[in-house]
Amino acid sequence: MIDVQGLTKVYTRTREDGAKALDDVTFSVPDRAIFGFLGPNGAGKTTTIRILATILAPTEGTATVDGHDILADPLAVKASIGYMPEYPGYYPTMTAEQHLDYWGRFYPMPAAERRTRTEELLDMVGLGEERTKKAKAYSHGMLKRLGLAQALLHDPPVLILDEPAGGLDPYGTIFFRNLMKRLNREGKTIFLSSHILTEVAQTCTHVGVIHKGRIVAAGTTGEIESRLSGTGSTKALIEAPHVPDSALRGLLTVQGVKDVARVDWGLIVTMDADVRGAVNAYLVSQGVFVQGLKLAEVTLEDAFVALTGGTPA
Amino acid sequence: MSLDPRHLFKGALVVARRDLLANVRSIKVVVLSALMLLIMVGAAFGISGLSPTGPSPANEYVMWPFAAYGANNTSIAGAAVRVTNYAGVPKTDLPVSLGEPFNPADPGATFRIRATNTTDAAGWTAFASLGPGLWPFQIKVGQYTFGNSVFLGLTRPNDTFVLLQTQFDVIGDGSLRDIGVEAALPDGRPLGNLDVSIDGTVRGTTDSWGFFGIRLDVGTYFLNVTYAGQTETRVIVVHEPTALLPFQLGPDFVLFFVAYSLMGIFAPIVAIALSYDALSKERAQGSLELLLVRPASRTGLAVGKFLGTFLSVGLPVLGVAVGALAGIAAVTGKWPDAVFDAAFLLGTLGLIAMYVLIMQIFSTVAKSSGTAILSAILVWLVFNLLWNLVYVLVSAVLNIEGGTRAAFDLSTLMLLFNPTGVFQLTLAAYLPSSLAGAVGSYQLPDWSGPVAMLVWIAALLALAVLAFKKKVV
Repeated sequence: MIDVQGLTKVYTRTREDGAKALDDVTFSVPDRAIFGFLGPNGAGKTTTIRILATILAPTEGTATVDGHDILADPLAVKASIGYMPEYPGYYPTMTAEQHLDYWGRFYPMPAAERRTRTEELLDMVGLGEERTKKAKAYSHGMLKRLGLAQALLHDPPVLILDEPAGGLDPYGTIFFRNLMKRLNREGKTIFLSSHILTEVAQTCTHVGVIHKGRIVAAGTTGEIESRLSGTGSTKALIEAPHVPDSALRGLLTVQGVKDVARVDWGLIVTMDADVRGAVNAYLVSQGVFVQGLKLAEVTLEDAFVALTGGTPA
Repeated sequence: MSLDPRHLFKGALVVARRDLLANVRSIKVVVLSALMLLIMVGAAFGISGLSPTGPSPANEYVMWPFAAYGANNTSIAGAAVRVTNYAGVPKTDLPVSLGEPFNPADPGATFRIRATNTTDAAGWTAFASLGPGLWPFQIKVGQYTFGNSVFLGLTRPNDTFVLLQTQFDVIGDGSLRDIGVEAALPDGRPLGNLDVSIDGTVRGTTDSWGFFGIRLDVGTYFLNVTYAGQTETRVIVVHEPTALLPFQLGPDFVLFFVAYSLMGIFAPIVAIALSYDALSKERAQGSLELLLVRPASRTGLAVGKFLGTFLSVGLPVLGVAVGALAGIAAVTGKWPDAVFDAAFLLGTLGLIAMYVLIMQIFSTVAKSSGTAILSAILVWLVFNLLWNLVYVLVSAVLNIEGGTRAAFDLSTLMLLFNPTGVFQLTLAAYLPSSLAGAVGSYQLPDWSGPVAMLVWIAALLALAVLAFKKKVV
């Protein structure tokens, strides 16, 4: 549905160090996926999104959205996407209705259809009762809802949403999450960016991680998690009430064990690979009573930290 | 980004429509238009109403003295006086004094009141049994004193009626265009319902009090009134105006002043005030990004922004301009020259288009509204107040001495590089013949103004589109 090929963007003036905002970014988003585009602030998420939305031209590379090339046929791309910026723009003196009517005029939509669609969407995003209020009286959350309504106006197959949950209260977050899932069930491909891991983990079927303008991982949410457990560090949680210091030191000699930490309920063993069998055998051989031994579940948060080599913002 | 040429202007009308509606509803447009209308119409009235002396009180108090011979007594006559204004409206309850008759032995004698009567509802009064002689009358109104006199003969003349005729300088330009006649019977009573013909055509009848008034254009006329077999003829000459003030030069000159001086200054102000933030505002409120993601071309969006602002300024200003024309027509009683009217209206729209486009380019390039405001003030100053300074700098650079032919040619040529100058050149090109020479000779062909205006607009529009494509992110 979205196919990104070697996107590179260099802002000539804004970056003194000449660093590339995007460096050879390649990934794809399958049809009907909810794709979470994850990365710390300044990683290049918004730049990528604006290029996909044909607002910004890439320095190199290209992408196709719904089969249309963003460079060769930007109008077709615009027609097949619904776009919501992080801070959706608005005309202060226009009401929600007037906004949707205005944006709707850009699409081949008769006036009657524009009216019914406006009504439907404002109800859907929960602005039904505020439809005749001027936008300058709206809260941030209401503006986000209006932003989403305008993105859905022409019923596009692809939604591109920049930080849709950013700045929302818990109710708003849940509302947006459920709406994303609902729209996805109805057949829409959703591309959303976020720096909030939990949001992506809970909503998305696919994840791409961007860091300093480069894609560091992309795949299904599960793949990203297991990729980490396959190639990176794996942690074993060992429930054992009494572990002598000698056994703890000896554990470090077991092949594949990198680090051992003592906690009040036992040990956390960091391993290059899953060498739980050897760990267990050694501990038993040292007379340690092992009550339980399991692999730590790797979360997106772990993956993110491991992949970006830093702490999530 | 390559584009199907059919989609080149896609979205332009949608954008233009919103901007027009938003602007027209804004208080800014209403206030600016109202202010401008006040200035224009006020100026039109002010200039048109100018006269060298102002309305003369002499036109307001006109004495029509007649001899009043008795029907049987032919030797002892009285006198009758009607007092009206120039239009024949009677002055009622006004004291009229009769003086002692003229004494040839004492020609310099001052007016001594012999009797005073008060005019009736017709503005008429009479003095009986006066005898032959030249009898003076006087009325006093505030600080003014008006006099007239009537000659009473020894015998009653054979006339069937008497016709008095006067020309008034109501307009104040010395042309004496307002004509009044007053008819009376030999006994001094007003004679109404007489046909008055001018150059053989009946133009009206005297009212029941004997008065008929008409305003004539410059020319020579024969005025005839006939009663009971007697025809009175008067030759009336309406002069060319003697005073050369704006009004005397007619509605064309008033329009010329309004267009050349007022519109040239105020239309750019309104245009700049409404367009300086056309794009920087959309950028600041984030709506620009949502605009860019619509299936519309960049060219279409840029052209749409221009059209929207242009119409928002152009329509109200056009209304103001038509209002100014109507004001001129109302005051002078005549519409200015049609070709000049058209040049004024179209030239004004062109002037607005140029300033709107200049500001759109600045607004596109400016990173903040502050920069946009600053650029707006600068643009207006440079093209309107500081242009002479620019001229001085250019002539210094070109080493052209002031007051020479070359200096004059340079200043003329430089008009082509100033939107306001181009506007003035365009007006000059369509100046009616009555105003030839009013702006001096520009030494440039007539087509240079309008052509320069079109070139300016086309170039600025191209630049605005280009700036939008390059700068808008």
